[in-house]
Amino acid sequence: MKWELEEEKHYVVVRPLLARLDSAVAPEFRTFVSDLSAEQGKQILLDLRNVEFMDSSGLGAVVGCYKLTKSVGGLLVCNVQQQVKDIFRLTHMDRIFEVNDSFEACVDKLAA
Amino acid sequence: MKIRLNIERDLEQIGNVGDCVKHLCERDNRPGPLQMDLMIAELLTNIIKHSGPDGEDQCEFPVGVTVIVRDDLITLSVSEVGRPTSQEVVSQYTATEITMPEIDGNIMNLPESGWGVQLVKSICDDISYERIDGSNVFHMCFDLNDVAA
Repeated sequence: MKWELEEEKHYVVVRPLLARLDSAVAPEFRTFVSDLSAEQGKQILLDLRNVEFMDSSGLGAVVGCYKLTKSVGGLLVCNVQQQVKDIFRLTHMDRIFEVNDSFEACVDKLAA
Repeated sequence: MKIRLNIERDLEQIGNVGDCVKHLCERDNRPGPLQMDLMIAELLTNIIKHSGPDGEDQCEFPVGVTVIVRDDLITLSVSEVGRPTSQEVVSQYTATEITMPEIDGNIMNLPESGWGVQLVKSICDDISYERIDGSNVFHMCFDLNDVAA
């Protein structure tokens, strides 16, 4: 299993179980979230606690997922490790994404 | 120290190269070069996806990766048998300016690609290209003193 789901009333938690979200898995991840978004129509909380490494393909998949889910409230990202923060910063995507360190903080926002 | 790896043209092999470099540095009690891993991943992804020998089965020819760690400098050379890398692509790598894809404020226009070459340039301290005996060879230098930056 490459990712796990937690389905809540108003949102779905997507948690990759891989240490690397890179070019080897990015297309599959994007398709997975796309199908999930179409099926559930809920906001998505992307929990990156297991992801130690993301490359630009992984980032592209996350951006694609963000665009796909925008009509249903978008995508929140939490538990971001330092290397992943760095790629958001280097590509200026930290200006677009609200990146939260805490899973609980995200859940509070989704519940508000 | 110096290591040489030959990897198949398979995206799933890229993580192994990053792990190998990381272990090499850790063995020497150096900081783990997370950015180095990113640079390796971006360059190898571009090579595996966009280049290869003319008229041949690409899987037949591995990509060679040589890593040299000396003092505080890592030199990484990536070589692959294939048609010459176009001057346009070489220029993208060797141009001094770093130009990330633009963000215009419209979410639906957000870029989903186009960062790879720019990330390589923003991370390594020097990059060069040469054509040797039918192979494309990229050389990159990475200063381990920059890891903490």
